[in-house]
Amino acid sequence: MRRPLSIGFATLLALAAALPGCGDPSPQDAAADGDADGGSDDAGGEPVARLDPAVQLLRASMAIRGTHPTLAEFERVAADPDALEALVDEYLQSPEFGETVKDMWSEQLRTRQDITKATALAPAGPLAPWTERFDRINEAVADAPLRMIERIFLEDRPVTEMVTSETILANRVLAAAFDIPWEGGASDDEWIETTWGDGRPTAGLLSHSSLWHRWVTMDTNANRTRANLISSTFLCVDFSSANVPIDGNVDLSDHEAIADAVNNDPACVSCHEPLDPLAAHLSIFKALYRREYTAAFGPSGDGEHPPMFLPERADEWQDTGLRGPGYFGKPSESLEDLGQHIAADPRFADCVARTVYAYLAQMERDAVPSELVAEYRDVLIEAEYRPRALVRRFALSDEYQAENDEGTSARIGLLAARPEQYARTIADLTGFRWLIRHEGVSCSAGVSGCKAIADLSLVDRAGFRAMAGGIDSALVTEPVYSPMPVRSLVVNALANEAAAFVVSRDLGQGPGEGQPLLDLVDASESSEAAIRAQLVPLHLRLYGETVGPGSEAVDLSWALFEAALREKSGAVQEAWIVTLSAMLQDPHLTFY
Amino acid sequence: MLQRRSILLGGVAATLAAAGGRLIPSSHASRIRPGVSGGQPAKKLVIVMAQGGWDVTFCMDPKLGAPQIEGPEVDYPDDEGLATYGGITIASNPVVRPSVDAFFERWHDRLAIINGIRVDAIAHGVARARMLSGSRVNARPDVGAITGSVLGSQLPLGYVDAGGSGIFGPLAASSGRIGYQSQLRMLVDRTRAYPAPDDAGFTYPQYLLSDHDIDANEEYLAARGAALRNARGGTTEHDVAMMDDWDEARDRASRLIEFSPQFQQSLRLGQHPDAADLALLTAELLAADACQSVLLSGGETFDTHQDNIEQHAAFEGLFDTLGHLAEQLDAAGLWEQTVLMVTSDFTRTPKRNELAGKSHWPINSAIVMGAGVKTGGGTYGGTTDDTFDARPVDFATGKVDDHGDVLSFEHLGAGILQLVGVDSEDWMPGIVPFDAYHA
Repeated sequence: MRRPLSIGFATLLALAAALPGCGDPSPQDAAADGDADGGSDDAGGEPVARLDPAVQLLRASMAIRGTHPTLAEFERVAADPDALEALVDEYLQSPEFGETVKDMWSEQLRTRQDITKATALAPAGPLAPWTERFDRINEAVADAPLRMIERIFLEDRPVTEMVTSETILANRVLAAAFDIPWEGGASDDEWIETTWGDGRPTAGLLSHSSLWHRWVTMDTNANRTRANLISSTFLCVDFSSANVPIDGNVDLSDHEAIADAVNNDPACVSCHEPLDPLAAHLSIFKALYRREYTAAFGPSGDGEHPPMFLPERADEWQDTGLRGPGYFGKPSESLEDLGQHIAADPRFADCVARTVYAYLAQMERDAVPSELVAEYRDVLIEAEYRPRALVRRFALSDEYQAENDEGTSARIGLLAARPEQYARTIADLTGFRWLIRHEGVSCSAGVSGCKAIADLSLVDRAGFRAMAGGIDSALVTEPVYSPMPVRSLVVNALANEAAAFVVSRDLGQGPGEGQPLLDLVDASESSEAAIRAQLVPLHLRLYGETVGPGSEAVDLSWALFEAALREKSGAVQEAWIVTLSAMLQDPHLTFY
Repeated sequence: MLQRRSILLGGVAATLAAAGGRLIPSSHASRIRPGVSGGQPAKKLVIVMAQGGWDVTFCMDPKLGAPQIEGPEVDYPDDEGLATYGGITIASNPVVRPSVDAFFERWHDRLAIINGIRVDAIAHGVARARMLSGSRVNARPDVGAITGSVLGSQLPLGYVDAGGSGIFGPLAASSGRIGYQSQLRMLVDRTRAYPAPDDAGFTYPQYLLSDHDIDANEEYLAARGAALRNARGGTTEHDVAMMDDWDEARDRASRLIEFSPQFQQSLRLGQHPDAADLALLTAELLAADACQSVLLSGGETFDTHQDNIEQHAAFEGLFDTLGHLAEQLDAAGLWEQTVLMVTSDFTRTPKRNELAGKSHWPINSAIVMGAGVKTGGGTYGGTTDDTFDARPVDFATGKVDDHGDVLSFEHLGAGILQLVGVDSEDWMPGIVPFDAYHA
């Protein structure tokens, strides 16, 4: 009979060291070559055969931006395959790269959570102006920590700023929500650099109200869940997956007995010795619940913000008999110290490298081979912790751009576009975002004149993010990387709507802005030559396929158009809707 | 819409032949080794997850009179007692938890209670995953996904997650979620849609494709899939698996639409399904052979760090849902081929804290009911009355035995797979299935 194992402290530390991303912390031991250029071979042998330059560009663009290259970009690479590197560098400065970065770290911080409403702030008091668009409250609060990381990547600042930054980014919604000093304008879209203004210690995300609002803690939990979030996110050490033995001699209703156990009982010490000192830093941040926030302002709305930063609780650990602040056996006096410790911990660089690689390669962090972690960690260190080098390395790497397995030990094959990537790609190609009036949630809460908006691709309560393979940050915390039946239905529905939208925009009088997708035809044009001429750039833009008007690929799409035109009695716009509905679901687009 | 299965049948048929007559996706066959056996005929599986960590002393594992364990009697000392139904004794309070007693009174003859299951975890996500999957490995598919993939390969979906916490892992191609507000309805019935923003300039759906359009699109996509497979999908196991999954996913999606008139009435777009909806939906899905397994979750929250008294209402709600579900399955004539497993993340600490709440405790219980379960009702396993730890069990009888072994979530998961007719050794090698309650 196989028995579950309980692990001791030494085992735990060994396990932590052995965990992918928490492995050998010694950068000097790594054998990476630090070469960030594409086209090299893995082992110094024959050059690796790489994909067609247009497909390489498409893959680089999807990894970095989650959108497809423009026709002009495809043409640049066609004229000069070496232009790929320059284009990658341009992509790394694009706003869409920022969206990728936010998606990437959302999987760790899990602040984008709309399933439960307990932590959603109500439009009370200073948030009353967003009563009709209360969706912006949740969006601002959830995305604020992610925007800090976005800026670090976009501006190529050291990733250590994630845990050391003295400033934050806020828009006026976040400022109103948490009483943050605000000197910006009237637009909700304006995010400016500011500070908390309440005297809290500054340690980047470790000080962030949004994070500790999302990750509430009960007194009995004593901030351990929060501490594990820090450990898991920045060090890739997850205490929550350790086995928890029973010690029936502990009276768990008694704080003193609990404190004694976690300090002295060997079965408890194994996890609590490293975890509790991390947690002790965080008692200054109290939980903030929706009902508490609403009650603080009262019916008149003129109350005061319930404070989240409570410096008087800094020594709470002494009252409860738990361990004081520390960092894996080292002294740590404050949250700033904690941030500095993490930034200096070799596991931090490993973990950032692991997180970035795992997201881009669509694998669990634990599954990234240790040699790749070491290689990417060294790239990061070589770049003085500036993270764009990591993404650049990946996008241009042989393992990502190889045509086949020959010469590469870890080729990354077909990847399915994540829900966020597919939504961005469709929006970029067609101008269509799957927006709805969010009355199912907001108006049922008694909000009159509700105008809340949700993008069905990017929410879970009403939408399809987790249903299509993403995470909901609550119950679904691991993405699905492979095709799923419901994802097929979501892609089908979104493609249908986007096709109708773009045909109306480009060939009719419909709403919408942006570069036309159908720019070589009009609503009366149905000749085969003209349609084929339009299909050629479509195949390039949508699939990275460089094909001629008489190619097999265009034959297929022309046949589809022709059949639809016949079926629709010559209605050109309808024929294009049918054609684009299919083309936007094409596996050359839903995979990359 | 996505109705042309015939396009895909070539590939599926080829896979079928290669699988020796069973319809097994080659992508899965290459990664895992599904098997249909377990010594049991194939059954459907319904999992009900009580989210947040239930206090099992309120029902399945009563501790009345155990001074070191504070159960429901703390709240209602005059109303709490024990009730015995067949071979099962539960904590009973017909005043505040009448649905619990009603459920056991009605259904005790065909269910088993399993107590003293070690979870070895006190974090919600980790514990929930362990209870659902029977595995310590992160992101391993849960028993519903396995059942759906192995036994429901010819159905529109193998596994329907109506509770939100299902774990699909590499079996995603045969699994699907209905969404918090029954959004699946909008995907299988495109005439249903949320309203567009006021300034959108259009309404949803903007355009409905005809059946002819849909067929034409499917032909196009099948041809393009073949082209991609030839160009990039045919060289590695990963790429072949991705393209196989793409084919399978589209095939299942089209069949789901075909079957949807048989279950979509209980999917009300924009509304979180209530207990009655969930019960009806489950029965309709299974009766229509739209899937092989379903995961449900009631709306109750059992995470009572404050005010453990709220467990009463949570149990009442849970068993109200179970009552509806059992009746619907009965009305549909499904009990002879269906297994129901009810469990939670873990149970809660023996004593209450200063907030009158309870924290997480790495012990658990489960209720297993239906086809293949010994009749007469029985309780298996047990916990200590002082430390609230799992007691060793004789795996042959399921009774507490100091010379036995401690029951874990792994044994439970393997036993469930065996019960529904899946060879657990294929999925949990080396794990002894707990099957003492099997008929």
